[in-house]
Amino acid sequence: MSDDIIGNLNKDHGEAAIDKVVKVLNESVDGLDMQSRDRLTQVRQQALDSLEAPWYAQFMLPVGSAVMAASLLFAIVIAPNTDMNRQLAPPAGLAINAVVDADQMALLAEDIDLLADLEMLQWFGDMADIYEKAG
Amino acid sequence: MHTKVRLNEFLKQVERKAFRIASIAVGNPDDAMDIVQETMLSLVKSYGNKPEDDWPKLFFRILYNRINDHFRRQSVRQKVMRVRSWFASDGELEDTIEQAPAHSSAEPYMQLHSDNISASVEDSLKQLSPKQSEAFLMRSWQGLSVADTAKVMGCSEGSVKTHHARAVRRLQELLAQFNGC
Repeated sequence: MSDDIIGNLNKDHGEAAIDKVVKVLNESVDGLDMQSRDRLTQVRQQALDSLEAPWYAQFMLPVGSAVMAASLLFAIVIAPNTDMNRQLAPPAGLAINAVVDADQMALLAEDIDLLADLEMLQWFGDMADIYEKAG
Repeated sequence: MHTKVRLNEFLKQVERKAFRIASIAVGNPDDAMDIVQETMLSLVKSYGNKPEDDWPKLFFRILYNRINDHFRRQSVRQKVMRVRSWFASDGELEDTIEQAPAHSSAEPYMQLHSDNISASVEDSLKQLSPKQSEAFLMRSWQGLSVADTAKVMGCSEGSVKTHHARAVRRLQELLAQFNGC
């Protein structure tokens, strides 16, 4: 069999694979459930509504994140080298990285939220124990 | 107002495909929906004033950036949880089963998994490298030109052709394997 024929056969098989995958993907898009369609419509509408948001809205997330990061750094630098300080060190590391990389700001906000949700109560409890032991 | 109408039409056209791409990439419909929402917001806020012809490549570029952010965020969370485990005693750690991501409910489109063809195609796409998958979905499914796909992927046109060709070859192999089973 010549190279041309083999090449054409491979090409045909390639086209068939593309057609098959594209067909299945299109079917899955057409068959998307109503709940997902409704949610997509909602998120589209919210995105379009943001065109009418006040000019300062775009600064709220970065400014809020920067304030949170700055507060955290302040606490680490100003606080004495206590157990509490060491417990705060890992999130402070995240904060420093996030300040360096502006893209990480939103990420930091989410991680701080996560920490706040999961950790804060427990941290307060730990700190209370530490101070109690220290007298 | 005209821009808003045009943006609405454009987003309507691409939203389902974007959702599908994100779902395949991250494997969770809720996360995929968040990614699509962030992508739409970013396009509307930052690039709504760009020429309409640029919207598709900008939209998909943002989408893939958000997908990458998602994986980066996951990795940061894992690091935070790992660091936390150094400080917590055994009894203080939350129930790992409780922390595990919720098993996504069986939405109708996900039930297509029961369909062998659909499942095999999706599994095949997941087995491609991220770049191969991106090149394939942009070129063959979204129908972007090589030049536009290169802009979406942030690489040269030659790389797009290479990734696409490899993706097609790999899909051929994988689908043949699935068919043979």
